Amino acid sequence: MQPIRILVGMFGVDQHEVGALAVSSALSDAGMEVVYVGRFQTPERIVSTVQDEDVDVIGISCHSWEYIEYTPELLRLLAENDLTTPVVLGGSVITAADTSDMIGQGVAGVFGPSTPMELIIDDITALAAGRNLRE
Amino acid sequence: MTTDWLQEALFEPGGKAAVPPRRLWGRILSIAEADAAALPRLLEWAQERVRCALLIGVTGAPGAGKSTLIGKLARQMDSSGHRVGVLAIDPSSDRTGGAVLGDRLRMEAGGGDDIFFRSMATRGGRGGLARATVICAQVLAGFGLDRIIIETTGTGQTDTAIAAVSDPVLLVTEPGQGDEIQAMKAGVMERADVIVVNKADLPSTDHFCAALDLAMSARASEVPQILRTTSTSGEGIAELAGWIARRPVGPRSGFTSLSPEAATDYLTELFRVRLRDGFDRTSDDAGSDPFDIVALTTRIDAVIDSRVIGRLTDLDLLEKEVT
Amino acid sequence: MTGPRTEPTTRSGIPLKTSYEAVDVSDRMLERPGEYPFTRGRLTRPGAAAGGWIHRELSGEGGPAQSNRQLHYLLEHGQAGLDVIGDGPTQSMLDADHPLCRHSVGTQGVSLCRLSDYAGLFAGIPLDQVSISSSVPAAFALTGLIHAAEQAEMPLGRLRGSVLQPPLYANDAAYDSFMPISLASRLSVDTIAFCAEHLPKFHSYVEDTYFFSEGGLSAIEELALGFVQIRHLVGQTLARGIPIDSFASRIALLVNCSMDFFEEIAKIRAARRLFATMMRTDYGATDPRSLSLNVTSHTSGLTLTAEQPINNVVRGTVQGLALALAGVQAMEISAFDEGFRTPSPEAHVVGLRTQQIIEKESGVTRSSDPLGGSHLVESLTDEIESRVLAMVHEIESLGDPIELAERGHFRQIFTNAAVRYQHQVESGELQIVGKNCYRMSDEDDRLLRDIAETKIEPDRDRIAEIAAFRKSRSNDDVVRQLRVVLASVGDPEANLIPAVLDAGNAGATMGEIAGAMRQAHGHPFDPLGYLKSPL
Repeated sequence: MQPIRILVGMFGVDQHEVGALAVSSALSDAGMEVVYVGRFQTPERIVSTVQDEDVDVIGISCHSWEYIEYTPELLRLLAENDLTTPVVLGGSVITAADTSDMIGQGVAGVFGPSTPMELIIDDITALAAGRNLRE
Repeated sequence: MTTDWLQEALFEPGGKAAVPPRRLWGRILSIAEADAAALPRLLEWAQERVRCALLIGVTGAPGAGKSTLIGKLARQMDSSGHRVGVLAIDPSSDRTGGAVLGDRLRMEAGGGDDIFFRSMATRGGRGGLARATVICAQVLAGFGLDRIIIETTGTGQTDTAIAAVSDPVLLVTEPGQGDEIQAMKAGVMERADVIVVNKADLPSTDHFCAALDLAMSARASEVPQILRTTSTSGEGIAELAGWIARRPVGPRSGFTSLSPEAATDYLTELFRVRLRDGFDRTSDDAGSDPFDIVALTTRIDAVIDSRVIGRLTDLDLLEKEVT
Repeated sequence: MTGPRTEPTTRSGIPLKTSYEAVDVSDRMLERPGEYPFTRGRLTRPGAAAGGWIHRELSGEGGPAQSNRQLHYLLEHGQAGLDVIGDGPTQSMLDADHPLCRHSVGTQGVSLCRLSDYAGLFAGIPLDQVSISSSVPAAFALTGLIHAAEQAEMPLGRLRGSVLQPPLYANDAAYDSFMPISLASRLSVDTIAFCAEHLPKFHSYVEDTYFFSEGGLSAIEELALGFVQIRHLVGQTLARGIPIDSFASRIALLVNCSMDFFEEIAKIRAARRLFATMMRTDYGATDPRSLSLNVTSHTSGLTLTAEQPINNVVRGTVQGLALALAGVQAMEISAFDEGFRTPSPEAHVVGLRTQQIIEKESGVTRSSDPLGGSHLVESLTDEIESRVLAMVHEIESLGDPIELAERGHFRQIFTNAAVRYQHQVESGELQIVGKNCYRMSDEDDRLLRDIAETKIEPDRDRIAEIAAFRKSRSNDDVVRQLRVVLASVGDPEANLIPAVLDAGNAGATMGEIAGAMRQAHGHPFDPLGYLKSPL
């Protein structure tokens, strides 16, 4: 079976990269191919990367509030490009209320600071499998 | 079904091979990487599509700035009218199969453009290349790209496979990598067409180039060109691109004239993929012990004998290669 | 369930015994506070009382005017010094109206684009009495402060405060400004040289080991990387012909304070000793003020949890106590809502009150270095000193630090530390109350959540203000002065600070000046590829 491919990046000038790096390492240890795009991402750039890299899941690490504005932009742009790639968010700044809001807008998963890594891996694996089922 | 949209993307209703829309390129590369069942059709399409494309191999030890250099080189070629693709290869973990593919990060700074960029994990490939490197490069050429840059994993002297599939081969070094150069002498250095001394703004550059010259002069074979670049500032990139452009197209350039070595690699890889696929598709009724090597061997032989995987010549590859 | 039995160690891996005795301490004569090598505390004025430090809390949000109100609020509550941090764009040397900054202006710090912004930020603040520590790119913080002083008719010689100089590590561990490392390093040295001449009371070089250790570096790694950078910048400054005793006393250290109580105290003691011995033996400093390191400090944000935020007040207290016992000159306690946002006014005051309670009520500061002579603390101090030195020498043996930074060597150290920390937390090897033990359901975990979860809206008016400013100014003047910046970068003999100041006075923004500097190095004016260079 082909490994799951996941994009990991951060929006705008959100720069606390530590979480993204640690999660990328853990996902790689779980057998995934992580396309690490890091900081300074925009929805436009992510969509074009998603197309070229054909990732199964998009993972955004959030340590500023920029995701609140950028995530809906990303979801809209994905839809406009006929992409069904699921988006997951992670980071301590995402509150319970924000989580419901994001899920309501179409985000596939939100991971908080105390979500165990195993659960993150399981969820991403399931999302990647779902994507393959859809197509 | 995968195949329906693929058929539609690759061929016109009359059956003529077409250029699929850009947004599907990534998906098609994934199929080239992993979907053995779709390969024959993909290759049929590629054979019809491919014109001469330059495959530029870039190798060198980690930290020499390969990715940044490739980013600049790709943009330089793009701005002079070429259609550029990059395959950047990072190692898959032997243990988990996972990988962190970080080359895109280093190449991206500077903004988007038309360059197609794909990160690949080796997935069991050896010699610094991904298993499906050649197939993916061929598919990119099928998309109409005429400059395809392949970045090896950069594990140093073992990255020799690049010389079999690309021409020219660029070996990227930096001042201070004297020890690495010694180690590489017998390996990839012998196959390099140009040695790029990157980070040439460092004070030790002159000294390093002199040492490199000396090491080269002891060689009997053709001496590679030595060029200096500073990939962060872009210094020397235009000269490097010019050198590539002026270089006569060699015997290893493009697919219409693959070297016997590269062709063999490519075809054996294709066969391996098909064999593995056939193996996975046959049922293991006997429920044999997966650690029993004799039982496995028998199963593989059965796959070969049953010819479920077909013969390579059935693909009509070789005739088209010659014409 | 029990894990594999392991010997107890400190967070950075120093083996610990169950008890310590006199034989565990080196036969070094017990040092004295205020005397070389200053392990037990820095130089003090004769007869000065022990203890006491400058209380600060990190601040800055929205535009300069809004942050100015925040600074006055903190001064009114008893804060003696200020620490201003820029928002994400400012830290990356991008202007508020850069397209990539559209959702981040003023949310995680103050937006500072023009020299006049600094005059607004510091309005009504006595710049010769309040020490202003700026966590803003140093060349701009300095020129901004100079501009504010000129507006207030304050002589430069009376200015106090400090700027951070992280040229080797900023791009990898904090805010990437896409400055080539060699240029960032030169700007640091230019700032130090300029201040040695014009701002004698100003700390032109704070070695900030806080920000880069926040990814999970050990105490030893933190100090080792700090001293690699100190040695690099001191060497570069000396190479300009500036005598060591004219700037060494303007170097300060901003350390992190994590949860390993005794190790953190020993780390600070070791740092003072290492600095003193290096300045004397390696660089020939003789003035006692050059040998005696000022230590400023920040409690660790990494150790704080988003779960049960009130527990962070306790963590801040433990860490603040460690810092008080270590004898620091200034302190900031990370706000309890750090996991969510830049500090709320409530969290600011709690941080400040924590410091005030430690200082005024606990009595721990009545004598200098109260843990001096403790077998454990002395033993740890020696061990940290020798391990840090070994790591410094190991890194230096690998090559020039600028080359190491460009090659990603330090980035690898930061990444490894982040991954290691993640593993320690995941595995429970590192116990964090409320996070991987003693957890509480989300429904029960509501205390202080309303404060912690309140958001600061991006300051969109600020974006419009900066865009309008660009249209209102004389572009000819701006371009002319940016060309001077460009030419100055090309002249290795030039100090860049006057050119940055002149460009700022002509109305050039930080983003434009930084762009001109990048361009002079052959890099894109806008590293993110959105803006065209005016040059």
